[in-house]
Amino acid sequence: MVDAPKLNGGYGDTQSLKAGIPTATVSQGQVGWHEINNGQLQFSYPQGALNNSQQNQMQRNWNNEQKLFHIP
Amino acid sequence: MKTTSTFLALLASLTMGCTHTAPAQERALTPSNLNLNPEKYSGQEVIVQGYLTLGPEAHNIYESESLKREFEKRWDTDDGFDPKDYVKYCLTIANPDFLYSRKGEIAGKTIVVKGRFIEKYLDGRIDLGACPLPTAILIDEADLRQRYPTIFTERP
Repeated sequence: MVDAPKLNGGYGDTQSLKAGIPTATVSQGQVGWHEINNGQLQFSYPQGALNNSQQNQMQRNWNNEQKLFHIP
Repeated sequence: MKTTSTFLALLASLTMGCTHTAPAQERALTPSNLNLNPEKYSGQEVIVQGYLTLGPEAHNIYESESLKREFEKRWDTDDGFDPKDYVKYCLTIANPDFLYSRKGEIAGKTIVVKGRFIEKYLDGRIDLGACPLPTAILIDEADLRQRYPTIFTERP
């Protein structure tokens, strides 16, 4: 469920949002949903799908990924 | 005077010899060389050196292993970090499929590849493994096999 933005230069699973297309992330039978609303990244996932450590990593990923969507 | 002329002729011949042994087109570029001048290299055959990343949603050549490590460390520890400062270091590989069959041997290594630079690879395309910038390189597969014969040796 946690994406890996450090591998692809920073977008992780949000690459398609540049084109305005949402992305589903499937992990162990559960689905997470990446989308963008008014320039703000959003991620929805089933309750309990992420433990505390994964939640912290996702939060850091969102914080950094969001910066790639800022228009200079 | 004759000695001087002979010396100059010898010097000229040596200089020309050097030019032929190290042709300019064989000079390896970096991903940032290409990404900072995409119009200049668009459609051209180039030679690139960098650190190879192959993952489920990642297939790229990064500027260097040390810069990749720095990027990863800052991502996880630096609250003031802006990934935009690093986007120029990442170059998408447009044809990574043949590399995945040798992922164990070649991923995480610094390699030299020859290929055609694509300025607008992401135009009209979504590639979940692409780098942030729209550029890419289409690797010359035959050339890479020649450069790294031990990696691409046929398995029994």
